[in-house]
Order: sequence, then C-alpha cells, then structure tokens
Amino acid sequence: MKNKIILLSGLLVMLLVVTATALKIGSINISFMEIFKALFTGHSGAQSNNIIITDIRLPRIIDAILVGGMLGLSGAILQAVLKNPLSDPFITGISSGSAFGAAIGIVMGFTMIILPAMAAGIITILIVYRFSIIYGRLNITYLLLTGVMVGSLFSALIMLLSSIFSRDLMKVMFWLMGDLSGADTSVLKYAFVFVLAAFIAAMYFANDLNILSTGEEEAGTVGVNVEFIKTIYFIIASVLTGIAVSLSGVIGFVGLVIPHIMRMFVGSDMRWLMPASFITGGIFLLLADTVARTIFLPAEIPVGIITGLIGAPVFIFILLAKKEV
Amino acid sequence: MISIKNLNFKYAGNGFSLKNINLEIRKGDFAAFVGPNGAGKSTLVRIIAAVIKGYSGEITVENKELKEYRSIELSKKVSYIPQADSHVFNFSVFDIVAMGRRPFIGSMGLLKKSDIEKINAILNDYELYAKRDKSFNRLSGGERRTVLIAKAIAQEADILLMDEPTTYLDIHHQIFLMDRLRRLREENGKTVFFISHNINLASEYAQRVIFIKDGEIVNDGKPKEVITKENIRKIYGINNFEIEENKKTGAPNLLVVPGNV
Repeated sequence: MKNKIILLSGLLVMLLVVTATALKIGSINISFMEIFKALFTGHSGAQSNNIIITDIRLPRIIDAILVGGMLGLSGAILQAVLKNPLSDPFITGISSGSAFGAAIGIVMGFTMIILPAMAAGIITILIVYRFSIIYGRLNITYLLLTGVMVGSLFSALIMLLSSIFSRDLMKVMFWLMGDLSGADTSVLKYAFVFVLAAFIAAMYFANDLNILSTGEEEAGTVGVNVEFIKTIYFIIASVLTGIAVSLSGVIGFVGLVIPHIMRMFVGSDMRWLMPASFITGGIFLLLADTVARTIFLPAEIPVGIITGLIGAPVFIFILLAKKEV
Repeated sequence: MISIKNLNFKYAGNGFSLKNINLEIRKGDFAAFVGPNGAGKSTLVRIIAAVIKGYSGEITVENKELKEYRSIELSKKVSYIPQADSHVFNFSVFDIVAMGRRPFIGSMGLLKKSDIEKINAILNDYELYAKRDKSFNRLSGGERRTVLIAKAIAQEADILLMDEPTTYLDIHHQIFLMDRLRRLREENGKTVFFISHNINLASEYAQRVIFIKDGEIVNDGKPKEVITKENIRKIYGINNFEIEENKKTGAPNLLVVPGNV
C-alpha cells in the first residue's frame, strides 16, 4: 500500500514535469520564469507569450491530460468488466460510435456535441455486448469481432456523412486520427465536471469491479449485483470515451496500453489501477501531443500518429516480455 | 433450509436438462452429490446458488422463493465454491479471501479491523497465512481450491455449496480439507453440500449421498443405503468392482477391479 502511494505521487510529479515542459516548448520557446509569471500573476512581460501560455498551450495541455486520462481509465474499466486484457474503448467500438454521434451532432448543428457522443457510445457498447452473449455467456471472440466490425461501420458512416455534407476531408481526419489542436475551453469546463463525477462513481464501486473481474458467477454469490455493476461501468466507460472523442477525435492505444503497463506496477486492484491509469494516460497523451506539435516544427501532425507509433511497438513488447497479464 | 420442488431446467443450445428434481436441504446436512460426468451435478448446485437462472419449479431458501432474493441477501445465507480455475487478472491470496467479506462491507471494499482479523484467522486455519501476499494465479490447483474455500468461510453463510472441493488435491490435502468441512458442520453448525467424484471419500465423510444420473436424482440416502453394488452398476455402467465395508468406520468402500467396463 505504501509503495502504491509513493508510485501515485511519483506519477503526479511526473505529470507536473511534463506539463511544465509542454508549456515551455513549441514554435516559440518560453522560459520557466515567464511561464510562472504568466500562470500566477497573469503577466509574463511579453504580451504575446502570455497569450501563447494561457490561451493556446494551457487549454491544449489540459485537454491532452483529460483525454489521455479518460481513455486510460476507460480502458482499465473495460478490461475489468469484460475480463479481457485486450479490451479498450477503440476495440469495443465505443470510440467510433461516439465519433459518429459527435459527427451527427455537428451535422444537426448541436452546440453540445458531448451529449450525442456519449449517448452513441453507450448505445454502441450495449449493442456490441448484446451481440456477444452466446447461450447466456459473454463470448470474447464475438465481442472483439463485433466491436471491430461496429467500429469500421461507424468509421464508414462518418466518411459517408462527410461526403454528403461536403465537409472538408481534414475534418474527417480529425475524427478518425485524433487531434488535440482544436481544444475548446468552453467544452473543457463541462468535460471536467463529467470526468470528476465519472471518476468518483468509478472509485465508489471499485471493489465490486474487482470481484466481478475474477468471474461473474462467483461475484453474484458474494453479493455483488452483477448486472448493475456491469451497466454502471459500461456507462462510465462510454461517458468518458464520449467526452474524450468530442474533445479530440478517436485516439487509439492509450486505453489499451496504459492499463496494461500500470497493472505491472500496481496490480489488478481497480482502486489503484484506475487512478494510476488516469494519471499515466494523461502523461502519455500529453507527451505524445507535445512530440506531435514540436517534432516537425512549424508543421504539426495528428497525435493519433504518435500514439500509434509508440503504442503499437510498446504493446507488442509487453506481450512478448510478459506472458502473464 | 432449502426446499426444491419439481425443478426442471434446460440449457439453451444443447440437449442437456435437469428433470423433475425434488430435494430438501436440511440444517446440518453434510451431503455429497455423486454421479457420472455430465449428469447435472454442477448445474444443480449452480441453480441453488443462483448462479444459473431460468429454471422452472420452486426453490425456497428459508421459506422465501430463491428468485425473490437480492444477491446481497442470498450471499449471507448461501456461499458457492466454484472449480478453482485461474483468473484473468492477478489478485493476492489475501485479496481473494477478503472478497468473501463483501456481504458485510460496501462496494468500495474498505475492510474494518475486525474483518482483517477474521480473514487472518481463516488464513491461519487453512495454512495459507504464509502465502497471503502470493498471487492466486501462481498457486497450484489444490492451493487455489483451499483459498476459495477460505473465501467462502469468510462469507459466513450457513449453507456451503461446493463444486468438487477435493479435485486436484493429494490425499493429505483431501483429508485436511474434508476434516475442516466436517468441523464446520460440527462446531459451527454449517450445512455443507459438495460434489465429488470420489465415492469413497463421499462415503467416509458425508451423512447423505445423492446420486444423480442424466439430470435426475436416482438415489438419496445414507452412504450405507445407497452405495450398493446394484446402484453403482446402474449409475456408472461398470461391472468389475467390489463394495466392502471399511473395518474402522463401517462405511461402504468401492474397490476397483481392472477391466470389463
């Protein structure tokens, strides 16, 4: 327990360090002194640097941390509920479902695209889950196949929508590849409230999720309300994914890889794994985004490319290095 | 305690069914379900534990219909010990046994001091204390089995239903475990129902043996009454064997003679 507290504190410190670095570097390099002044006194000397820090870099950093955190948390939850370490928001089709919901929202002129994105995510996981129950039992092969198929279906539908409504192709790329450059501060505020509520709910039922992850049948016999817990966590995971997708499009790998890595350090107890996956997801995505916007200066590449480039090899490495998940 | 009347059950998707099961589980029973592979023993136990739903007929637990129980309520009366497969995710021995305390703590799983003391006492009793921080998945099949039993003890339910508690265990641990189960009944007044493929172990320990074949209860009585040459021949389709009395205990034992199935 003590080790886990130290680890979580270490992760928080790491998050601060990465945040400070991300504030500093970019097309213009800003000194730490100026950053400090801009953040805490509202004055950094040069007016343009002030705006870069508080209006451009900081919202984007918060966006990256929240999105990475939500995806990490959502992945950890889905892996436990489905008792399958290969699950994540992307593979189960939730991300693409949410992206489709968001796209519909945009086409219909909604201002709060978070809502259709969350709703579509919840509907997607319920459909995918329903199709994967074979003779009363969850069949993981069906789940993964259905998830991937539903995911491709929604991606195709998004492209279809974009052709019909002749939006430019870059917009579609945003939904399908993931991109943090469009961080919208007004959305970030609600997002923060939803994330906080989802996190508290996730922690409140965390031990029931532990028990559930050791087997549904046994969970019921020690008093866990299995259907309730599964539904609650499907909703939490979909809400988190829906917000993440509305903020930044479909970003893969974070939800899959981060909980895996964290499980090696804190174990499978969700009371530790969920906060650890949240913080590390935030660190990972912030790092990836900082690389994405600085590596080919002045050009910027979608963050999804970086998470894929880092995520895929890391994941294969983990599978090869560690037989037990 | 538990009364089963005209229970019928059919799995969707395969032909197996339980047919017209009538059974009384009385307080203090120490009983074994015995029968061939695929006879429906596990299915019956899982239905009573409310793991499998969708049966027809009537099952009452302390005069209340099983279907009307909330899982938290039922978990205080009935505990179920499944076969000891490893889990997808790793938990320590202590964590697994602590999961048995769920009926008494909330969904966050915060253990009180008294819970921890109880868990440690049970770990001690089952010779698991030294392994409390070890990963459940890294234990042998027999050790996993013992951990799951310790978890069920932590649950403090009056009725324990066990799916093959002695499978994977060597003879020392079979006796170790059966002795403890017997003590649970004698000292704590628990009711124990277990499934066993070991006719002799069932005969020595159980006061009641229930033979199940093809989804039906075919015999139900004291070991001496039901473990007979004729019954065994009919139930298992074997011919070459002897039933002899254990000179020390008086219980009927099956002696295998090779060949002639």
